[in-house]
Amino acid sequence: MLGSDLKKGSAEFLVLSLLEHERRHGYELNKLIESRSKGVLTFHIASLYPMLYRMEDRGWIIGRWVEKTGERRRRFYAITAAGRRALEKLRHGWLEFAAAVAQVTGVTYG
Amino acid sequence: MDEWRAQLRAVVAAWDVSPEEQAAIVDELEQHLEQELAELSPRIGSSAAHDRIMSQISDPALRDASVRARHRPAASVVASRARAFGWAGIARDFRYGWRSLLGNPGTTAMAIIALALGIGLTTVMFTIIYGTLLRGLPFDEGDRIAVIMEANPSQGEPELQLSTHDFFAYRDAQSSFETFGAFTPITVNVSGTERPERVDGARVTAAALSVTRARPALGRAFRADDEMPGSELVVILSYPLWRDRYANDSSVVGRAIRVDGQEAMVIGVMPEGFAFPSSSRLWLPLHLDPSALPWGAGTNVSGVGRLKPRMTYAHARAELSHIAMRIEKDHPQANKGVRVVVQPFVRAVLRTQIYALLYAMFAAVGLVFLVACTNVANLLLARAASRAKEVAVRAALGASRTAIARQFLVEALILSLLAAGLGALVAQAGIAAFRAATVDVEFPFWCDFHLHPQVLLFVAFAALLASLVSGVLPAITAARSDLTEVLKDQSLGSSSHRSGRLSRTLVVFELTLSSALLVGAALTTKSMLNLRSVEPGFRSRDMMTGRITLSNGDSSSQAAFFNRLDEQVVRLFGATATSITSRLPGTGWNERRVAVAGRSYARAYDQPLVGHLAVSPGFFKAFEVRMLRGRPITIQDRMGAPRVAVVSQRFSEQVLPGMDPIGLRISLNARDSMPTWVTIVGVMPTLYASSPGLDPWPAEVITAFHQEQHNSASVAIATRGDGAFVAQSLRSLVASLDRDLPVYSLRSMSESLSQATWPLRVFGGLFVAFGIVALVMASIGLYAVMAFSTSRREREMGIRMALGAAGADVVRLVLRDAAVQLVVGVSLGVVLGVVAAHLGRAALYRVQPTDPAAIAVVVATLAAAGMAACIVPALRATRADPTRSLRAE
Repeated sequence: MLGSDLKKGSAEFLVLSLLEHERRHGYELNKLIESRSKGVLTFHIASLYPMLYRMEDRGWIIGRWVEKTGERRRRFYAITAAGRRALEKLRHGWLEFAAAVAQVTGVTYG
Repeated sequence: MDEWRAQLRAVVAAWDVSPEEQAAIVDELEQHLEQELAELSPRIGSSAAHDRIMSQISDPALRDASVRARHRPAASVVASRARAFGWAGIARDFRYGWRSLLGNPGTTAMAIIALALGIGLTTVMFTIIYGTLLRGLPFDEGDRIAVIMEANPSQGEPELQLSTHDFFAYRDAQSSFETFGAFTPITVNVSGTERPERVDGARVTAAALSVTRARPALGRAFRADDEMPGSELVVILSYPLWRDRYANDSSVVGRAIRVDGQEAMVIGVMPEGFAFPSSSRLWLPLHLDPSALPWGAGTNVSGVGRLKPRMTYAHARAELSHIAMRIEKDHPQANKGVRVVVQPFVRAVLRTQIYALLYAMFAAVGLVFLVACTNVANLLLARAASRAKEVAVRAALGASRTAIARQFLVEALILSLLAAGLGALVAQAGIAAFRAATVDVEFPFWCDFHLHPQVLLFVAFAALLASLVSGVLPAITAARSDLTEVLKDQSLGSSSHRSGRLSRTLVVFELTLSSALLVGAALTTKSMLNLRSVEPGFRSRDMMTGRITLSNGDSSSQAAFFNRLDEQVVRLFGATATSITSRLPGTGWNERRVAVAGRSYARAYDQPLVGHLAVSPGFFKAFEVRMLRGRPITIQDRMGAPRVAVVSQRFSEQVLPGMDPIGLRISLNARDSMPTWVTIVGVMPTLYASSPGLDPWPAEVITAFHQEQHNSASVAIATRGDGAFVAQSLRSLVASLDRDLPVYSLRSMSESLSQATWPLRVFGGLFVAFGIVALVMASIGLYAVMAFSTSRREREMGIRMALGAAGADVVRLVLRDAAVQLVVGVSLGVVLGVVAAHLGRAALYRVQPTDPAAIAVVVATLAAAGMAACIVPALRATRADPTRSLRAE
């Protein structure tokens, strides 16, 4: 498993990326992160939800209760315009960081 | 409650957020953990999975999570409870309600559309009623203007004008009215400067105009001395007549114009929009002089008065009744059984049928409104049930029952306000459609169909009412729900049986109202179709008609004129193509009482009511009416020859059953001192009649126009698609006979027939709209309830299927459930509809209230719509996963 600091810093990046094209609920976010990272990254509710609420506070995402007839209501999260800008910045920063790390260490992805 | 759920609540309760948010957060986290538990249990065993969940909850990171209040500054539970009663609490309810409605856009949109249609249609109907009845006369204190008429119930006369003597007797003895005048409607020929024109107006006493408190825009009003015998004839013009005929020329005041061939001095012009007492375009003074007349003779008039301040209608009625009794005692011959009738102007002038029709329509639209509210109540109930847990958590976290109930009411209020906005647009469109449909209908002059501020107030009131009606049930249900019951319950609140029963009852109620409305709609539609396909029994296509009224000359010169006119039109258009009649068939039948020679009748009332027309010999050829027996009226039936009549088939069946009518003598004025007896010479098929007092296919009597005295006549000419040319030729022909004589009401026969049927077309159309809207809403309601109840029973369905039930069995089960509601609702509704239609059968045309075809259509439509609404939830139930259902146990 990855070190917790690194994980924490990238968590918001992950969530924003997953919400970029689709709205999802919390459980789905967690499952996606887990399955796409092949189990390397997982979150507990203790870290996932407080983070989601913080991101909502910052205006990056917005959570809405969605009800379908006959189903229990669920809270779905969607990315906001501010969230998209933040995602752009994070993506840019990440690439720069990865490139820098690669240059220093000689490790390349793939 | 599971241990972990309790633990989770305890942790979140320590967070610094509002109770609502706590409830929402608990809900969200609980769902997450439930799903995780369901997924882990089969893999690692339920107790290990449980441990993992517990470890997540006990993670100190969760307890210490720095979750700040997201929508308001931190506040303790106690403070928020105190505030729940203040404005801040209500504002928060609105915010929360708004978010929660947005969370479920489908349901919200459906509810808003249903309510908007309900409010919109109700507003259209209210606008019509407001513009016709409630707004009243556009005069200062117009509701205090009364019309004074008489009635003679013992003679079956509900409405009589006042004789000249009676008018003066009331006027001089009464003390209830500050002004008391008389009027009588007239139609005159105005000529002089330009082409002659036929103008509707009124003869009025000076007091009758001053009753309105309206002042002339130009010149002066009438004075008492204008009514004196021998005074110069004066005339007041209406604004439209002044604008159209005299081109807004103010110098016309003081000039003379010709009215019915007499010089009359124009003394004034009334302001725009003034057409008192009924569509008047010109006013002449009313000369009344009872001194030389026996009691009861002379001009008959309508009385009009303005109540004195603080005087009531009841008082005026009592006083005038007293005077009427005194007159009866003093003049029993003329006034036996005569009663006085004092009514507000609008009520007196509108026919009772119109009154009844308008209120019937209002009742119908009220039903649509109720259906809409019921629908919304149902949608809200379903939401309330699926939110049972959220509500229970809120209650557990300290929300009071009032706060919870209020939350639901606020949501209903938000829905209603949005619906009111949309409904006002619907109303605007509806009113525009109504005006377009009645563009050629002449309404009473005070009618004004706009979205008045009062109407908008009504919309707002309707919205408030809607929110109360539709919100109160869900609010009560939600507030009453038992906390521990709901929280203990794992299965998403199957404890909502109570609200389920309520929903079902509401759906049955909705179905009842909708099917009642649909029965009405089906019956009126059938009436409309019957009317449209009516074969009137005479030629109505390609006939141009016009009307002529003579205002000069004695009766013999008038008879000579019409003889000459008949010769001329026959020469110009051919003997088989023209007809001169007292009025037009179809719309113009006169209602008369008929006496058969040798029979005695105790009261006028006992004589059968018949339709009467007088026709020229050309009538039967031009209107293609063939004789069944005997002969038609011919050119030999002229003045001086024995008087003859033709009767309809219906007449011989109804008045002379089992007798040969030919040769019998009848009279249409048997109670006059000099009755005229006519001999029946022929029987014709019954012709269609559109007349308020007559059956559509009544007993009819046709007499010879040229054997009687008439001062007006309708001319009908068969055309070959050249109506406009024929109309022009007729006009110049009449002008060649008398330069001052206008031909008016130039229109085709089919136009005149369709004009008579507009109320049925317009209100029938409205009714159909009501029915369809109600049908759609009832279907939506049924769908919502079935979808909801099947989702509740998912586990049961799953178990049934696990035990071997096929999908078809499950579908049948769901449909059977719906069928019960449908059968109960539709049966009640059909009975209600038939009863209502029976009460309003005057509006139906050749349709019985129990018409089997109409009822079959309604039942089939509702059954189909109802089943369609259930099939989707039924199919969804078959997809219930047996394994999942069993695991959940």
